[in-house]
Amino acid sequence: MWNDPVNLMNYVEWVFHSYFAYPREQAHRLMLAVHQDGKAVVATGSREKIEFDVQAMHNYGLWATMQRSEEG
Amino acid sequence: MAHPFVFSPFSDGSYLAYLTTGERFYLVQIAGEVIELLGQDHMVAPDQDDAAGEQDPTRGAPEVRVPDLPQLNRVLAGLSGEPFTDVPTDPAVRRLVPDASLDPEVAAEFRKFTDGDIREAKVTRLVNFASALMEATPSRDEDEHVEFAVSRQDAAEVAMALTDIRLVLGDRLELVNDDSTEELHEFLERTAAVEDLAEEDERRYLLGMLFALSGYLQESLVECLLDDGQGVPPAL
Repeated sequence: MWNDPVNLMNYVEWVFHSYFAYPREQAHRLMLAVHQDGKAVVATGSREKIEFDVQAMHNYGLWATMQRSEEG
Repeated sequence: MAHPFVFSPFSDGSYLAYLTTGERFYLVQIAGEVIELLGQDHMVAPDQDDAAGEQDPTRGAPEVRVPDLPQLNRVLAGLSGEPFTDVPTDPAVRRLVPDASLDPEVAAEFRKFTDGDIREAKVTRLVNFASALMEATPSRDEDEHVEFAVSRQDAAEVAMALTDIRLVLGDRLELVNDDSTEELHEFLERTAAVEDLAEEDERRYLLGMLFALSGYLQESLVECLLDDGQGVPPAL
């Protein structure tokens, strides 16, 4: 997940909370990680699941990209 | 300025904001512009331009964008027309339907299967948002704030529509980092009268006010959603 200067912090937190069903504190921490570090890994899983998640994030107006984990 | 979203006092499970007729009008207008952007801009990818141009000089200049109404109608109708498979030439559209991978090949493959669905979902949300805004009777009194009610069920979709509006405004306002967003807010605060502004600043002021308004509405609406403990994702 990439940081952007447009999306509001509480919106990003709400997306993580409502879509990934992360608890509020975890959603808040992840939002801050994206905001402060410019990007963060917000979800991992099978290729099919991640493709679905990336599409959902784009639907929410957040910019997510996927990459293959280095361990394979 | 609009009054932000709060819980409805009538315990009917809706959220209420208050907008002037002018604010409503501007929001409908920008929603329409975003819908139009989503219905077009499926030109050839920049890296394919040259090759395509050499092979077929009649392929037209990708710089000229003519609103493609049949394409828009297909998006609106939810019919599967030609899928959008090329990288959008307009950076605002590229932000609405971004690359799914830093690897262009993976991104292109992903776009082939998802781009149309994402555009269609966004268009539907924006159409619903604009329709809801138009439901209220316009007021002759330009300072009168008229109620804008959003049901709990529709709130997520409205918040998402506001994001797409802000993404386009953010691109047009050249908000490339947090500093430029901060600068815009300072500019809006120190501008007392729009009449005194130079033409370019006037545009920045109007788009900026709309950016601030949509952010204000979105932030308060999302606050309501978070306080309501809504954890159900909207359907894709």
